[in-house]
Amino acid sequence: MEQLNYLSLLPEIVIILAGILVIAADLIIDKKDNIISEVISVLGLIIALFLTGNQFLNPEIISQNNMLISDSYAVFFKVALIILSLMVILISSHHIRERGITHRAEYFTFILFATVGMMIMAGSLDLVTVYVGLELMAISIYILVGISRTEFLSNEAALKYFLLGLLATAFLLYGISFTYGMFGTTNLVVIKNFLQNNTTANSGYILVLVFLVIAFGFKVAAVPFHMWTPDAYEGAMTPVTGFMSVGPKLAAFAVLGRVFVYSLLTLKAEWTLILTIVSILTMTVGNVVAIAQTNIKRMLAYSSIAHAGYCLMGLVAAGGLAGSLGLQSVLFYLSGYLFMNVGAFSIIIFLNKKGISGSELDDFSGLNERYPGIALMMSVILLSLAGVPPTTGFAGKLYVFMAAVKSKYMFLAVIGVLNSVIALYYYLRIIVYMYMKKPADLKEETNRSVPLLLVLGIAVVAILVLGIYPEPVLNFAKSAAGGMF
Amino acid sequence: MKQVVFFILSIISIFSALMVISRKNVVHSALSLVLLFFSTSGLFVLIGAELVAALQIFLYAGAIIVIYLFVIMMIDLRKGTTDDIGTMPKMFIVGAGVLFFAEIIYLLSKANYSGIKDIYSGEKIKELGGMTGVLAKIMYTKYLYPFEIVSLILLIAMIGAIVLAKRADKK
Repeated sequence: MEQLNYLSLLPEIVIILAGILVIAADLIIDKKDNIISEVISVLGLIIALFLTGNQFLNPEIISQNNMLISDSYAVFFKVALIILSLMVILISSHHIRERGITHRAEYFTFILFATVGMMIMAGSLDLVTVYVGLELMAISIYILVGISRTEFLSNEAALKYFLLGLLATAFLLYGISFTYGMFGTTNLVVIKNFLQNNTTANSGYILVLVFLVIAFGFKVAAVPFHMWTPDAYEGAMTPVTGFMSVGPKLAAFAVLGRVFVYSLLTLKAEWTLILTIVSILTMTVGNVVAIAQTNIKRMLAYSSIAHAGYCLMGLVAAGGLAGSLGLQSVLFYLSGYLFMNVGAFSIIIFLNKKGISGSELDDFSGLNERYPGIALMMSVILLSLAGVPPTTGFAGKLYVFMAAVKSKYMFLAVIGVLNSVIALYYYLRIIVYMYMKKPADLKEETNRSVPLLLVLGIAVVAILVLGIYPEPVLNFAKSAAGGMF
Repeated sequence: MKQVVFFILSIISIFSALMVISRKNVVHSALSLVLLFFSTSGLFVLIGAELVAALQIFLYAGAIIVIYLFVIMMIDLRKGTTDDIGTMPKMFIVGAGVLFFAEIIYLLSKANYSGIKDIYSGEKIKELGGMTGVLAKIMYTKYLYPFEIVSLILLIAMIGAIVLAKRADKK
């Protein structure tokens, strides 16, 4: 009772050890261009992936005084987070050398620690644990955003993200303190039982819901808590942008599902109303503002806001008649979103070289003449982001809209479809640039690192496989979501 | 007697909190913040939470205020003050803040706190041997897992501070 259950924490412990080893190895091995950091990080993550898979075989272990659960829902998110972390480390390897980042080993440590933070969030059954996991993730990512210290944009991005992130954290803590005031506990299982036994209405619950929506709305970049997103995404190094556009979203949606759908299901009338409004705003603002962007990273920032809106729609459906189908659609959508976003940012890294950021719309003009293969892959990724069959973007949207319709949120589904049409415009614009414009400069060197191309290949294949044959992931998501009700 | 002290301390805290956000000179704001921390720590003493009161003074009035003053001295604060914000946005910000505050007060006044019964009350804590003991015990038993994660947060924050602040002189 009074001791930690180390067995249920094995994946996290392995990743933490890898993170510390990375720094130690960097101190011992003095050779300049060593790749020891990458090797240790990747090995640690792969071991953690297997250990997490092992948790899936013996699920539903509640440990650490009812603060940690390793059910299939947690395992789903942990697997996604470890895959994300692996991909980000592979695409960073060459890029951070090119950018002249002096603290290479620490960079990987931050990614590993942030991953652990997010895994803790995904598996937590207590709001206190959610908070400490979130803080571990957030602090690591603040530093990652500002790690290219000599660049003005990076500093600006880090400061903005840091200050607004602190505000969101304060809202979360305030919300947790209200939760404790209303329920006398922060444990999600106890809260669930309390709500089932005490059916009297309490206006304090609304405060709890509002504060939690603000805090996690910030992390998933939902409108109107999205102001930091474009600047932070643009200023951060591109691999970091890829990491922070997926990781915190995955973790925050894991917590939103756990808190709202699992614990506060009795209050669904209230939170579905809040999330419906936030979802509509998020989809619409994200897509409409994305049209005006000429910088691809900013455009992807707004597009990621819009994607969060679709996921919120699935969450609303989970509170309605669709039930576990809604949550399942969110999980499936997020797994596809992971590959789409990492793929898109990998292409920006590929185009990045000295003097050219690779993230302006003009950098993509005539890409087909220069690199036909890359242009084709980018087209697949963009079509998936837009939601065109046979990609995972289409399948994900289909399931989310289906869940919304099933929950009788017809107007939400209609708004979602209209938004997809808007989104098509700005994604297709890049394809037009790639295939129909003349390239500005034919002779140039790009970032042809093998790990980067490998990740790009995996992302594109995953996008197509998840679009054509989604059953395995869908079944995994179904068993994960089913356990929440 | 207790009531009188409570009201005096509350009035001082509210007054100093208002001073923090209304002063143009940041040093005045920071000093008002010190006053705020002292008066709230007095409030904690009143409800028998002497450990929290002490931490409030050590950490906030001590360490954090020193950091604030350092930052104030290092950054040229004459650039980019609140004067750059127009009247309309300012009105909007203040209006939204007041509205939000009113909402919280309204909802809290109607809320019922039936869930919090039988949790650590002042008397119960005295029975168990004082705030510090109870807190230490619960932190190292029930909340051991988050407590361990906090150590990771401190580790990463330390590494991060070094990474961000270390001079790039090697090469």
